[in-house]
Amino acid sequence: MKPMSSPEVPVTPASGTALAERPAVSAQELTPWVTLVWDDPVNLMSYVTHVFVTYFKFDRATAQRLMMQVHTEGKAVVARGTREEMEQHVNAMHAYGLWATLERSA
Amino acid sequence: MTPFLREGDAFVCELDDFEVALVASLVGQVVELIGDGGAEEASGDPFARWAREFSPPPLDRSDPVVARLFPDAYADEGAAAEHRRYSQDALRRARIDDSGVVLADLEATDEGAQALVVAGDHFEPWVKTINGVRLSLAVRLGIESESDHTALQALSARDPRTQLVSLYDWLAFMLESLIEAGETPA
Repeated sequence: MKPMSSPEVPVTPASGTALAERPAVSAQELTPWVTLVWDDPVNLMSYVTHVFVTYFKFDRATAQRLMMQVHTEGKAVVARGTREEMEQHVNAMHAYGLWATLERSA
Repeated sequence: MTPFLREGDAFVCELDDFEVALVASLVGQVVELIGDGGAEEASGDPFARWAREFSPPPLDRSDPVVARLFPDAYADEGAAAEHRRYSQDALRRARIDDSGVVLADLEATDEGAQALVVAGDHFEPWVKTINGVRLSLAVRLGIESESDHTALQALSARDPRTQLVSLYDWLAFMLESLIEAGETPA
């Protein structure tokens, strides 16, 4: 994954020393949240696939694979990113009646 | 009802008069449950209306249907409550608006005399609303697993829940048919 630049790390082109003292920021720390969709016995498989294609713009094969993962494993990670982004995704899933939560990525 | 068929950008099916009334009634029940006091609005007091828009009465989260339509975003109860405080009103408003779209389309069938026409930009409000009705029926029927559903389908015709189960399955047919029509090329 392409690492994102962090606004918390100011760009200081002058000094190599400053760079060395800067704490390492891993990609995991930058995008530490995930959106989980949980299985339920009500939402139709076709409906869940429709939601994944429509909202996340997944191609059909990806949407179906994630839908099947929700169905057979009980849950699936459908997005990773900042907490704010994941809250937006969870709200959208709730608007569709899907059972979704966000949590810090393990 | 006939299955939905795509006609250009729209989706069309035929419903009997009692089917139109049934869907409208079920959608209306959800609106009543999560609504913000439509009856008071009819009183015409502009101040009461204004006050309500800024602070709709709180949802009764002890009702399991409400809890299912507005689930927790976090496993942690405190974080979930905090999240709910600023996200719930928008979700609630969206569900009520979507229901309004569905009710207006049903109304336009003139009690089933005309075909039901779901315009392209009404598609998402329709699937969300019908799915929401299925979720609420599932809670009332106590469907928490697939085996619960199978057990309900095996009930004798004399069981009072049988009609509700048929309705729940019929709405699945309606929703699936609309989604299938949505997947066919224009």
